[in-house]
Amino acid sequence: MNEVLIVSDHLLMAGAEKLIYELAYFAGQNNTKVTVLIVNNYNTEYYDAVFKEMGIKVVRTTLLGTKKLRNPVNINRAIYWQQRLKRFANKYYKSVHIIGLYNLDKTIHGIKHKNRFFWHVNNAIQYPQSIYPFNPAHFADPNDTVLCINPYQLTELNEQYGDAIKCKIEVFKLFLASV
Amino acid sequence: MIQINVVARISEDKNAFFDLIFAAHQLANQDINDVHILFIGDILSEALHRSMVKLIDLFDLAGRVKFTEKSIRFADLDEEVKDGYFINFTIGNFMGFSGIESINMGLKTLFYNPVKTLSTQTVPSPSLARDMPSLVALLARISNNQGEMDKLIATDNLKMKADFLLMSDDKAFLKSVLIPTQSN
Repeated sequence: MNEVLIVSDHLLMAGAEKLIYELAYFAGQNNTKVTVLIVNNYNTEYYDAVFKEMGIKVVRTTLLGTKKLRNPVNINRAIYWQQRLKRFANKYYKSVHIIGLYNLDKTIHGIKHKNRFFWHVNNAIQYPQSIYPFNPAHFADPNDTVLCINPYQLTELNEQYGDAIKCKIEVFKLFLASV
Repeated sequence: MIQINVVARISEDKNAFFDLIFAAHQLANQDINDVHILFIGDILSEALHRSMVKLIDLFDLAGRVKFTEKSIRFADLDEEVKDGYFINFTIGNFMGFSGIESINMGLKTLFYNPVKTLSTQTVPSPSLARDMPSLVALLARISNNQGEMDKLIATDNLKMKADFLLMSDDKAFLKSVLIPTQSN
């Protein structure tokens, strides 16, 4: 069975999480298994129970070393996942989806995969002076794809980052697979 | 009374709350005094809340613009509030999941684009106001002819929901993203 990895930092009752849910739902409809990886956040949140009900595995860990961890279970889990995603992600997953460009600092260097998709879920107006705080180096790999959910984001990214963007950028609508 | 609801935490990353207070003020200037606005959500920024209350006071709207000051589950809202209009902010014509979830729950849902630079390229509809004058006009129309506007809004909301459904091209694209063809 095909498997994909979806990565984010929260499972609250909010828009980015609803996107994870709809993406996971669509994957399920298409015979594709999903693992959800939540980085640097060990709380139990709204969608944990929802995904459990759907039979979707949620892993909470960090991809940024283990120095800040105290709990041995969390340390072991972090070591396991850091190795798995740095060395073997291509073997286990057909694609990797990082939700929110604001999560790239915490994840992009820890996941080596030939099909990485970065879902862009904000607009510039949500940031001070309407300037995105994202590192331009995150857009340097031509194998990666930024997926915008509205055309304004495409304009904003091109205006701010211009030639620094070497990855692919596509626009796809927000969608409901579950209705 | 026309009940307008805004479901959002009062926090500083939201920057369109003042627009609604200003719209209520504009309506009052047109002698439309039956539009009431309720902000439903926790106060995360006391500073922002104080500024909003100050503006409400300056515009003499204290009886018409109120706060729950805490998050309230939908089931626990008064019937009068549930029967009101739930306004969502857009970016141009782009609406997030909160708006579509509001429509899915069968609520009368309005949309407002607060981004001035996108107002002219925003395509308006019976439930979507492209800018401040359009928002004031929309609320005035509801105040003047609620029955007729409710029908238009309901039809428009259903049309918006349809835009979120996956057509065959969309499904093909999503499949190609989940399982890229070059993957092996």
